[in-house]
Order: sequence, then structure tokens, then C-alpha cells
Amino acid sequence: MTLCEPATDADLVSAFVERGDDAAFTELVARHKQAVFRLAVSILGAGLEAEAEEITQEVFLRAFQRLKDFRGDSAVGSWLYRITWNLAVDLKQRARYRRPHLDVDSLSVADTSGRTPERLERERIVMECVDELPDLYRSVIHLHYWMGCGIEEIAAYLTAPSSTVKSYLYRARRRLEQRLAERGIRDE
Amino acid sequence: MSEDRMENLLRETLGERDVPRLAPGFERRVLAQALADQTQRLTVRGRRWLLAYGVAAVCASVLIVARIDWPALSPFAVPVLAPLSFGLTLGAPELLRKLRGG
Repeated sequence: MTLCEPATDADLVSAFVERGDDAAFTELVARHKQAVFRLAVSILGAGLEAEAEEITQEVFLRAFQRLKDFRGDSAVGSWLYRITWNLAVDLKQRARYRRPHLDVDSLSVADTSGRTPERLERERIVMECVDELPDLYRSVIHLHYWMGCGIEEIAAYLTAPSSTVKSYLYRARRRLEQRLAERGIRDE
Repeated sequence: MSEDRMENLLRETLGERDVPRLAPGFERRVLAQALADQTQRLTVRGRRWLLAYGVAAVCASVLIVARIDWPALSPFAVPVLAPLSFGLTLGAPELLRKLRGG
């Protein structure tokens, strides 16, 4: 490694595990924190951003304890995303149990200017229908349309080929279409 | 509903929402919490070591007293006492290190 080349994730992991280099761990967190947070938010959905931040913290706390057991079979990012997925899906199930329906405040956007009541109502229904999708479909819809992630980026989060992500997106839209039709939103 | 219509609907509804971001200084907070948790775990481990060491020391003391009072016990006490004393001597520095959170 030369001065010009930034350290790879594997370099940072070995610096942390072998020499106890806390700066290397901090750099790993800095590199992956937004991706882990985005993935957590995409699974939990609107109104649970604070919980997503808690999950992000928990993911890195677990990484701190378990990095010495990380065998390097996959990329560090994939390992972190897998932990994130499991924690977020688990929390989402518990959140559903506690709160079967999202409250209206968490669904509405901050700036509602220029929106007719009909449009606001339609957006609320769309958000509710997205929230009712299975975890995987809800996550890809949120990542792509809310957080603006490209197909390649989502594929990295899900450790899946790009073609599979495209297929997930297509199927998610079809399911959403059915749910929206049941709620009275059809092609105008 | 056509694919284009669904795309537009999702972009209108989700695309205009603010993208949440983590607060600055997140990595420093995580590191501080991780180090605090680590110290806590070490302290818990130190307490377990102290308990194990205490039980072993009590056993050794009972055996020594028993051996003095009942010399007939010596053939049985010595094989137990020897490794116990050896363990207690070797374990003392490790116990101190664990209790200090090292």
C-alpha cells in the first residue's frame, strides 16, 4: 500500500483486529454508515428514522465485537448489510405488532404546499400500500424511489445480481399496483 | 396501471420526500459506545474471575486445614492441593489484570 492508495476495507479490518487501531474502525464506520442507515430506513419505512439510526449504531457495535471472527469470505460491506437486514426486519415485525398502522403525521411530507387534498390523500394511500409490501419489495422500492439508489447500489446492499434487483423492482410495482387498485387508485 | 404511470406515481410520492441522513459525529459516538461496552464486559469478566479465584482459594484453605488436623487425609489432599496452589499462583496476575479492565 502506498501513500497515494487509500486503505481497503480489508486493510482497515486487519489494522483494527491485529493492532487494535481504533482509527481504522472509525474509518470503516465512516465509509459504511450512510449505506447501512439507508438500508435500515428502507426496511423500516417512513416515521421510523430514529429506530433506523439505533439499528445503524447496533450494527457497528456488533461489528466492533465480532470483527475478530470475520473470516473475509465476503466483503465487509456485505457482512454489515446482512447484519443490518436481520436487525431491521426483526424490528419492523415488532414495530408492526406495536403499531399496526402508520400514523398520518409520519406519512405526510414536510412541505405540502401546492398539493391538493386529493393528491395528499393519494400519497398517503401509496405510502400505506408500500408499507404493506413484503420486506424485500418495500426495501427496493424505498431505496430506488425514495433514496435515489441505482440498481448496482441496491444489488450491493442485497448481495444480489443487478438483473435480480430489476426483477424485484418489477414485481414490487406489480404488487403495489394490485394493492392500489384495491384502494381505488387506478390509471387515470 | 401502465409501467410509466406507476413509475411517475412512485417518483411523485417518494421522490419528493427528504432523504434522511445520519447526524454528524456518528462514528465518534459509535466508537465511544463500543469502548464503553468493552470496558463493561471486561469488568463483568473480572468479577467472574474473582469469584472463581475466591472459590479455589477457599477450597485450598479448607484442604490445608483438614490436612493439618487429620494427617490421614494427606494422601488425598496433596494431589488436589498441588495443582490448586499452582493455579492460584499463576492466576493471581491475570486476576489483577482482569479487575483493572486490561
